[in-house]
Amino acid sequence: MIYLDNAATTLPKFLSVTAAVSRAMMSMTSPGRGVYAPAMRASDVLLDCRIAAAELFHVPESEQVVFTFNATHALNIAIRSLADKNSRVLISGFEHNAVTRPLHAIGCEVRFAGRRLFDAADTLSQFREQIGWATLVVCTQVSNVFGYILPIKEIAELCRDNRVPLILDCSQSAGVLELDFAALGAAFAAMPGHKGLIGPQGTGLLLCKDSAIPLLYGGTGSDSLVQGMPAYLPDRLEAGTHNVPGIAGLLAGIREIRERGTESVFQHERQLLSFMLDRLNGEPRLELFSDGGRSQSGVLSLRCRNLDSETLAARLGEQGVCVRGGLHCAPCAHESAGTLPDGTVRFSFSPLTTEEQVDSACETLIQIVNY
Amino acid sequence: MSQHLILCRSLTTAQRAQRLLERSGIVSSVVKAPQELTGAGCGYSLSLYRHFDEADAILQRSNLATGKRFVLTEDGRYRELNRDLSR
Repeated sequence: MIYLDNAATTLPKFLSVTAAVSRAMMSMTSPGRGVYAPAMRASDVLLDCRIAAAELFHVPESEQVVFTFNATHALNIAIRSLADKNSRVLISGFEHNAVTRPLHAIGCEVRFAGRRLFDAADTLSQFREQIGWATLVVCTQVSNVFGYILPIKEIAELCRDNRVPLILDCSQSAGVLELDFAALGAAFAAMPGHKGLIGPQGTGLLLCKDSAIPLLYGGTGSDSLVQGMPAYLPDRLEAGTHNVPGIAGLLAGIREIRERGTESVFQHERQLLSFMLDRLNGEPRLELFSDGGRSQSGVLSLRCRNLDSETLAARLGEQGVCVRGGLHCAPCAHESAGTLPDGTVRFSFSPLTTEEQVDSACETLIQIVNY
Repeated sequence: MSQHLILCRSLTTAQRAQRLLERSGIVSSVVKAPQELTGAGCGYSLSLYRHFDEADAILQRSNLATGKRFVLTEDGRYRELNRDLSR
């Protein structure tokens, strides 16, 4: 099997991740519910993970790192905290349904800024033009469909200058691109644990500049006589039992990424992208969505002129190449790129993907489209 | 050697405080705060038997949200130390 759907979930994980999950399941209970050894071991893992994430993403205090189930959960907390039906929300043209659906549910007014793929100047200019209208900006750092790296530093600066809060969706970038949360001055940054941070599914992080409105209410092991949620982080946003095995695995994943360095991960994935582009260049039946890697991470979307994207992805799957076809839960991004309604087939890499795997996947792809 | 308790805002704060003191060679442990002391139900505190003044000074210099300090008296009751260090 060749797994190239790492933009959905990275596979395989580092061995240290699976070992940490297993160790947690055998020796840890729930943190904050007692001071006996299994509970305290769990508490230590949570704190270590908060500290590791705070150091990786330049968050001033580890309490500002909140555990969630995934990036969608984190985005829902962030969006619900800063948007209501009277809000005017500016989003990029490459957002995931994890952003657009919560905004739709709230019923606020939404405008797009920048719908031209791989055109950072246009994206920025559109944000600049409409920032005066906005009460909130929500923006992805990298498009999950096309790997387009948006000009986040500049967008964050624009938000700071205009005193508009910014929510960052780092689903595709966490662990791959540098993120300096404090310097950007964003209100929130949301990310999954199971993609670039190489943690288990069911883990996510919300980096918080200040407090937020809880999405879940319940036990926290603190202030139990008070019926309101604690006012302080992280307890305010972490009701119920934590996913301790997941967080233990996430901690191991973050440690591996820190050891390798995000720049090294990014360069590895970019080399694979470059290799794949060279390998597929000139295939007349394929349409590749790329700017040659200038503003693109380790994600390549393509279309086939004689097969729809779901069928092509299924045929690749039959041959043992695991990729994702269709709309990737991001119809907005496909609308921007003109790839509706069929979508694309997406190939995405991880630190553990090899050039041999990409080469073999390309060979299979070429055989299928020329059959 | 009397037991001293330093109330902490949260478990995370208590753990961070414990690690901060550990870096200065001061041994403490994270314990559930006695319910009578918290006023709000479940809470956490640091328990230590030695170097309380030094620990107190270190925590005051930090930005950790620690609260009231108590000492366990011979009659088994906690007496609040006469300093309001709540943040």
